[in-house]
Amino acid sequence: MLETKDLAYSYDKTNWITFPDMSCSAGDSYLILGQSGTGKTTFLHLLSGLLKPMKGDITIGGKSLSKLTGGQLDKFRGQSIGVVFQSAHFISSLKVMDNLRLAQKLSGHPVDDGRIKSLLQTLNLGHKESALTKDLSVGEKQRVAIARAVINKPAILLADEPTSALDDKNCDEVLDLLEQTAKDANSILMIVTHDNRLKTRFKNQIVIS
Amino acid sequence: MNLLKLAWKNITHRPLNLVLSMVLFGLGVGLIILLLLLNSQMKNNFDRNLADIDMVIGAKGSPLQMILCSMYHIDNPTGNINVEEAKPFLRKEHPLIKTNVPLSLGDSYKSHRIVGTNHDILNLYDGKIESGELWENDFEVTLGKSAALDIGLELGDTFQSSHGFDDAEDMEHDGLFKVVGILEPTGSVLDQLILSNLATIWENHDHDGGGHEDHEGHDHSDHAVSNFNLLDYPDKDITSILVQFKNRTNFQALNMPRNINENTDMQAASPAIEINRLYSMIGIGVDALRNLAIIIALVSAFSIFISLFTSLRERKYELALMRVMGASPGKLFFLIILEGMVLALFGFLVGLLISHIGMEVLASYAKSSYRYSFTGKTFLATEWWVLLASLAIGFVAAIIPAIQAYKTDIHNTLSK
Repeated sequence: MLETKDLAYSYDKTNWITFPDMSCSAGDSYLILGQSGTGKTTFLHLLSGLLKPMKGDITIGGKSLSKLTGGQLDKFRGQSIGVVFQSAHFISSLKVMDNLRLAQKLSGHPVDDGRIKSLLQTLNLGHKESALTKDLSVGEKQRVAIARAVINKPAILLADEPTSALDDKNCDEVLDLLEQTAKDANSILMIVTHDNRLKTRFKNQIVIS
Repeated sequence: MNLLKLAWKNITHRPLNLVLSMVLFGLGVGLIILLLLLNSQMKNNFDRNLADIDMVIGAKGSPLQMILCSMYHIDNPTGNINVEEAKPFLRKEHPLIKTNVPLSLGDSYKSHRIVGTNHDILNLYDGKIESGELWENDFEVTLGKSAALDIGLELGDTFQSSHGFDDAEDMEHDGLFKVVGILEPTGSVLDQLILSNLATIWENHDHDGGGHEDHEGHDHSDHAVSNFNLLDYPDKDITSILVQFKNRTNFQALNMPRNINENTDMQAASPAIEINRLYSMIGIGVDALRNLAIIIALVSAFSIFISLFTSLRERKYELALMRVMGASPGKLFFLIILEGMVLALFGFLVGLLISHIGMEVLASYAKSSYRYSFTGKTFLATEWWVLLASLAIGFVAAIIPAIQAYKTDIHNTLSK
């Protein structure tokens, strides 16, 4: 499903960040650990096709990311990758519902209001569908961000430090949601974090150093 | 959720920016369209009233004033000419002249000019009687359609005129005019006039002036138009003569104005030449206004540019997000271009509204002071070009921000 091989990246062509080889299958959950500045974000951006690998290759669902052209990569990213960022950002001029519609539209999928509504229900956001995102609480924003990441049932759900700003209770809740939605969408869940609370919960751990 | 809707949402999300751009752009476009409307309607008005008149003969003075007075009825006469002197040009048998229409001006009623003339004037403007009959005897008048409607006069009504164009109470003459007919609307200046026979003007002025004691008594039926011959009154004055030549390319006809100007105490002028002179004089003002409008349009283009540019800085993260969600760089480019063009479109619509409402306001003003009918309800084909130009301005203003959006570095933006 997802494989990386001899992956490396360098910002200045002298110091190379190398990443461990991985082979993950659908439904798996992974924790990617590492201290700040070790290349976690770089890894995440490589996996999501925002950066192109300089060495090695990433294969997702049989497709080699380095062989895709810019346009193909954009399309592939929209359809196969969902990303939850550390702090939730949205298109501020759009309501919750329209933010999710846009995510479907941009990925090339048809807009499916039924799917959006049921997903919002699952995430306990049914009553917020016509709210502007700036009016949401922090927790609600996080959940809308998760909804947006899984709306297209991506092959891989990437989460970048989703819990670092949360207390223990909310931390568990968000992890539950991530696991549940990833499972519903049959996605590989990858959480990039330096939050040690998560270590006990996931058995598949990859350390970047 | 297509790009157009997203562009629309992005624009309306910042209403102050939207209003600023729209007002600026609207002013520029509005001024330009207003000038176009004014120019075209004024030209139409002037052209329609040219009525194939080749030459106007009147008292010496400003030829333009004479034309404006005798053909457009918006200025005062340059003076009067003596029938005796004008005789050659009043003869029906003149070998070069097809039509000669004598005019005697000086009085008005409620800002509508009373024109002493014969029935030939109707042929110049294709005037036809709508109700009642044509003026015949002294103090009988036939009204142009607009004059009748504006003043509210009907068949059989009577009124007293006043001297000149103003309705000063103490300047009223004592002759009592009677409405005997109303003309069909022609779309020309004829609609604005009150027509009487020539003798009526003389009578009216001789009465109160008291200076000329040679009038023919009080018998108003003395000067019935149908058997009236102006040449029998060589000591009388008229204001001007409207002349159509039999053949306007005839060499002698072409020289006639110069001969009159050099050899008589009268002057002759060609309406086409004088009106062109007027256009070129107004033209300077119109050019200045047009340049001003273009400057406003450019400033507003700049405001659209600034508006998009600053909003992009705030929305950098949003654009990166759209890339993550699968949007290509081209899509972001197109989105920003759309935003610029939608802003311009709305500016154009505001301008359209401003110009046509402004034209209606001008129309009500122009009607009372110039007796010309402008309207804001007609549209010009050139307005499509203004729309195209507006969209082009929106496009150009959006290009640099759009290129920036195109170049959004997702990785760097999202890492921050």
